[in-house]
Amino acid sequence: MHNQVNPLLSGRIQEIRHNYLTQLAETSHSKIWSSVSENEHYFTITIVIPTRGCSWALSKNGGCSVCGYINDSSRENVIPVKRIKEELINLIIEAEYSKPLELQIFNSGSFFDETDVPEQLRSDILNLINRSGQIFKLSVECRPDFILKGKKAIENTIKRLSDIKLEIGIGLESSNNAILQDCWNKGTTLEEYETSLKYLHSKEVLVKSYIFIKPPFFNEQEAMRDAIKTISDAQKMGTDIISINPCNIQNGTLVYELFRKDEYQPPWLWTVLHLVKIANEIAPDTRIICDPTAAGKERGAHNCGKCDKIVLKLIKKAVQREKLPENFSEICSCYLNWEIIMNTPWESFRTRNLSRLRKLSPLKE
Amino acid sequence: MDLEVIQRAFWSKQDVSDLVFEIQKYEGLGRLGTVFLGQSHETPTFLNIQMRKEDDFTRVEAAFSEESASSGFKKILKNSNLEFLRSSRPQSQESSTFPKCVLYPSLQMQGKSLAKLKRIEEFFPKTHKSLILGNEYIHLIPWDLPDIYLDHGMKYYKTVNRLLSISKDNHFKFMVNIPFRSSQSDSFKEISTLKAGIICLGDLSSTFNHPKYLLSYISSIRNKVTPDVMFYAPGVPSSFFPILSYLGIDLFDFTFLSSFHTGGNALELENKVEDYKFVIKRINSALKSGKLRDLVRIYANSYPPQKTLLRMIDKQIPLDQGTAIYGSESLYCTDQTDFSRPEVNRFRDRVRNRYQIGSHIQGIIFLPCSAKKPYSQSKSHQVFRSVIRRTLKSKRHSVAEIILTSPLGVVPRNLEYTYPAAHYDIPVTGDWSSLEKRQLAQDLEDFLKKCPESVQLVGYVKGTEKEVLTDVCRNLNKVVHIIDNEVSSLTSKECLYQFRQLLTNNLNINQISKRNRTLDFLRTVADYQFGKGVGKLLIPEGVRLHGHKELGIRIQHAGKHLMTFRSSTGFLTLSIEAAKRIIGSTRNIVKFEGESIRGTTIFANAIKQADHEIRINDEVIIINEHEEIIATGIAYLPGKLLIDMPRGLGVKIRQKVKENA
Repeated sequence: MHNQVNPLLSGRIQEIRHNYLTQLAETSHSKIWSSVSENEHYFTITIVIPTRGCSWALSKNGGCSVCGYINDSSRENVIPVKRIKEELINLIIEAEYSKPLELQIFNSGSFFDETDVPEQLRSDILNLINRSGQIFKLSVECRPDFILKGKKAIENTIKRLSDIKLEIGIGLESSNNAILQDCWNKGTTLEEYETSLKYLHSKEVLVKSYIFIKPPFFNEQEAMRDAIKTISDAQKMGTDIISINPCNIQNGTLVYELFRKDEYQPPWLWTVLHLVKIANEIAPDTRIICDPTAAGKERGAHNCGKCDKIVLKLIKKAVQREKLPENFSEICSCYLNWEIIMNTPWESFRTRNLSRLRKLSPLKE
Repeated sequence: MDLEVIQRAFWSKQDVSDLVFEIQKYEGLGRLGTVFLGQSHETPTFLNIQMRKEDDFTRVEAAFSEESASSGFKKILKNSNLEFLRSSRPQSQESSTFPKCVLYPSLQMQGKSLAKLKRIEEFFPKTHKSLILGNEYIHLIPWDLPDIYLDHGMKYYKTVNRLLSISKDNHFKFMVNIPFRSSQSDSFKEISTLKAGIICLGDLSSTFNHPKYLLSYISSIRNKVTPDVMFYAPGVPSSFFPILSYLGIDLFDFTFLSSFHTGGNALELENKVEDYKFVIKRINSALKSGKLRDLVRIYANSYPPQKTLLRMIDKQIPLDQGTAIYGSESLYCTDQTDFSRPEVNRFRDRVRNRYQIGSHIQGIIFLPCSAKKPYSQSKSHQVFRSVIRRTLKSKRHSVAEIILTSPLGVVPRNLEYTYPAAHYDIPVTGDWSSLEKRQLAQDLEDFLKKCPESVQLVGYVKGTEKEVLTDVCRNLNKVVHIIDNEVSSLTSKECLYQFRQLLTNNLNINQISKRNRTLDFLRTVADYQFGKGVGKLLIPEGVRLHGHKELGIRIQHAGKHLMTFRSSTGFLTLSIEAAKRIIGSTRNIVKFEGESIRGTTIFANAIKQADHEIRINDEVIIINEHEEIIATGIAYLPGKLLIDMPRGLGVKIRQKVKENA
């Protein structure tokens, strides 16, 4: 058994995941998702490929408590290699771009995990990238344990990419091992992250660290405190990019089960905004990314429903390190509710009907 | 090693302030109490919850000190208006007077793993080491049981119990959170020995719209803990305070408050600190004057689920336990829920079970109730009685007068002074609701069934009472003579003439020897108070009476004071002599742990045994270990609590056996 696992937690996660995946098996078909976005200096192409799926999630430990990306992976099915290749050819070879390309390949698992992404597929993808000639940076994701196991594959990749920069996203989530174990069921530790980070830096690979807001069983305030500490730790260890990811609730996960019973709520956008703001000051030289998934929706980070769009814009501004308005309470009255919730142990008592708190209208003074 | 150190600290109690919870007054399940925690606090009150932030930002701050010495991180937080993340919120002036409870960051936050659940004891002493000696409550387990551990609920309680057992004498310093799970009632059996200071009903507010769950949640926990454990309901809006106090919740907080408003409830429109304090103040004064039930009704009327809850409480919870045998001077019944008030139910029950008309009674006259109480002091009843006296002359000694009323049902003339017959008040419009009619019909039927066949019935009632009386008698095949319905007022001259006619024509009564009707009256009261048949034992034929019903009667037998009838409450007070007479036939007996008593009170911890039938303000007989009568007194708490309560006032002594007598 993995020594970084809480059997009570992982058992429950495994059960939930198993139930959901068996129910899903008949209807699922693996999808390829891609998008192109543009900024001042380059295009970013993001492609999500349905590989076999994260080995951690498919293991008997059940995977992470908040992650349901396994639902979109191929799992037992054959990986649609042909379709993936066609899509890539369409995107990076046949299309002509006016600016250089940054290619992000996400496989919702570990890119350097042999069982997840077969050697052949990875090699094919690298061939296509080399053929393209427009790409200046490749961005992939990998769990720290597979970075340490797959050193050979990484070195091989670096060699083949030659001029193209490699960026690897690592899920740090929290710098507190107890949280990783008892809330996340992450299966890795801070130490593994640090070792892999040092190794990648020695190979001149850029490291992007994912930092998660609001693990299950945590209240808003604790989640915020933990995220601040994690950002500070990640910065100290020398990560190149910090990506702040508020929770979004995915099917077939423990968080979804808690959410269904109204015992868990995704974080407020106010929390996210404050964190980006603090991260900017803690890590003035590091790039901060924050692009909340499903923001403003019931299952993503949201506020009262009226100010979601405005606060999202503020978050975008904060990421660009632009100046923010001083008094948030003028933006929306729900800011006061947020302040109260941050100041009281509401969620510590596991009071249900948490969603109601967000919707309560404040008294006008 | 650490464990040892802390255990030593626990036992050397030198610095630990005396910290206890005492009950002063009890009503329903609610209690007015005192917490001694450094200083004394009167409950119900607010709990001052404080989140303790261990200095867990030191690492973050350290990163800054290299670059800018001027406390960089503090500045960042200050700029974002987030200082509360760094330090505990400064204690506000107003909340400093409430008992304090400290909440810890969860174990994971402290970097401790839950995986080793069985070794939680090792986390615990280190965390709470410095706090055991302070004047504050401590949240025992700094994390709450996530749902996934639910299958391990038993484990949770066992762990809680184990932690509490480490702290031995100081268990009352801890607050334990018991989250609500409908499937959990089995686990509650485990917590029978749970001896914490405060039990926090964490999920209470989520069950507000489901009174059934709320009640089962509260009562299942209540039944498993000693009465000196306080209950805390976090995050409750102020309009729920009264009904929750009635259910025995002692501690509330402000967390729901401030800028939220909940919509419909008229009593919550201004959701402010002052409001919250005001409600608590009201509850305290209501408890002091025995009027909590009235306050509960007022608040319950403002919100439908609360009203549902109140009705369910009346049905499901044995409120009789916590209801005083006599209370404040008045009892107001203003709506439907009041017709099932414990006082009303008790009166109806006792009349049904303990009242029996005397064997000499040959006729019964049914009379309507009056606004002025006791009835016999009202003008209408004085007229009625003079008519009866002038018509029947000495035959009236074998006639009983029964008053028909709502919500008490059937009130015998002899019990008209007895609480609550002389104290209740209802809104009168002349129209009776179907519930009132049903209650009266029920009581009347039960009463008439017990009457001998030979007793003749005469009714001087009109309207609804007449309707009910004729209906019931028809069902029971009894003959009742009632005046015609066309009467305008029962006190009018024509009507009283009809009454005389009715009495002379329809009552066929044999002359009996003259009786002392005051003795009959006192015996009826004694039966009502101590149980059927006690009256005859308690009041023998040869007693001497001094005084009058309206002012109080002193009863002497063979030159010794036996007891006093108090007109204000309508009950008898016992002396030692009287106690000797009824010791064998009453259940109001309290067993004292010891030989003899000094002083004027007995504390609950010295009570070894007490009958569960004892109610607040009941006259009790105190016996010692050798079953000898040592005193008589008044019970301050219901019988069950007299045994269970480990401290506080139990019985107030009325008379003691003289040592050398």
